[in-house]
Amino acid sequence: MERLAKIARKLSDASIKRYNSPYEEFQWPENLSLDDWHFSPELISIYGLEEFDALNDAQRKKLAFWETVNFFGINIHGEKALIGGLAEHLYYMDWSPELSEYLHHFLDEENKHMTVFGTFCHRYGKKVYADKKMSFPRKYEKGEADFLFFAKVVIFEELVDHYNLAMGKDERLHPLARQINQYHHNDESRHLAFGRELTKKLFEQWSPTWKPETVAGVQSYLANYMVSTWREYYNPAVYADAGIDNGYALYQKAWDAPVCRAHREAVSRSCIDYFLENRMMTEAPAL
Amino acid sequence: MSNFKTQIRDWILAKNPKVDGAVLTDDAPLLEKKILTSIQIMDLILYLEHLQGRPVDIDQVQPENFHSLNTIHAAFFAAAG
Repeated sequence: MERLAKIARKLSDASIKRYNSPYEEFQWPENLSLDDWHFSPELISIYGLEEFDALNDAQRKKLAFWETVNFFGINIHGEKALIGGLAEHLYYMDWSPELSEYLHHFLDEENKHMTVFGTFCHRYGKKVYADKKMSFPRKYEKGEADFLFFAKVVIFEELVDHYNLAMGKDERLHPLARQINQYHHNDESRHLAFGRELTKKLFEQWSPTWKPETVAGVQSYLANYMVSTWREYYNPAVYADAGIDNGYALYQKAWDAPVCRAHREAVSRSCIDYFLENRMMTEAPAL
Repeated sequence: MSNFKTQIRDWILAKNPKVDGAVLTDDAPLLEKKILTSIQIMDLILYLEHLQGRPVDIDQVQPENFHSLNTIHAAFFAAAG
């Protein structure tokens, strides 16, 4: 864990340097106009389908707004679970103090992100779309739950960060939407560096002690987790709020469409490579 | 078998083509027998919402609701018969 402790110390220094208050960083307009883009059109879940092509500019911008509310909701639910798990890992007895020190920053930053995403959703969307993920209690081998927690964090954060990075630079977007994405990306790059290192370390440490079926189980679970994480990006309620009929049929069509699958594969490529290279997956998930 | 139960059964078999239909009885433990994976539950919830024509109140949903076809039917469609 020595290398990890060094990384954690560096990341803590960067977090202190970049310490900020979301209450001072953001100006929240009273209303947002649907004449503006709030989500990059190419990242909209049904982009590339004939149903998207059939929408006029105003309808696309309305859909983009609800995709934003969905995307920020995905962030809220993901970070809520993250905060709970990070808190549990504070002051783990066999971890170096540097890790706990950085986890304090990680927690603080995730909490701030949630307030920003939550403010946007409540103020402009008047709702946060519900989290449909469910967890089913089961027994774990030693180190398995810790590993799975941080591996899931990497998957969740790698995907959202792709969107944050692209939209933080997209000049077509309303400045608030751009700023939120940029703000999130600035912290996520540190979280990802830490998460990738810790996840790899935990797998190297614990997987040799697990039964072969446990190793196979976590490998297949992570592949499935990536698939279910992607499913959240396709939300029938978003299509309904955007005024598009047959939201469930469109959800299914988008999920099965080769153009959408190609998008998911392209966005996930580096994350999948990381899991494959470190033997935490044995094959790329069927996205 | 109720219409809803048949539709859910068909959905499960379509999503899991390797599952033998004879195994999928009304009482078969779906997760335990690996007829359904826990990861597919989110997708199933969206399908249940589609069948119900309204959102599922996720705060009221318990893992045990997904034990079998019978428990899914009782949790989500009892009023519909």
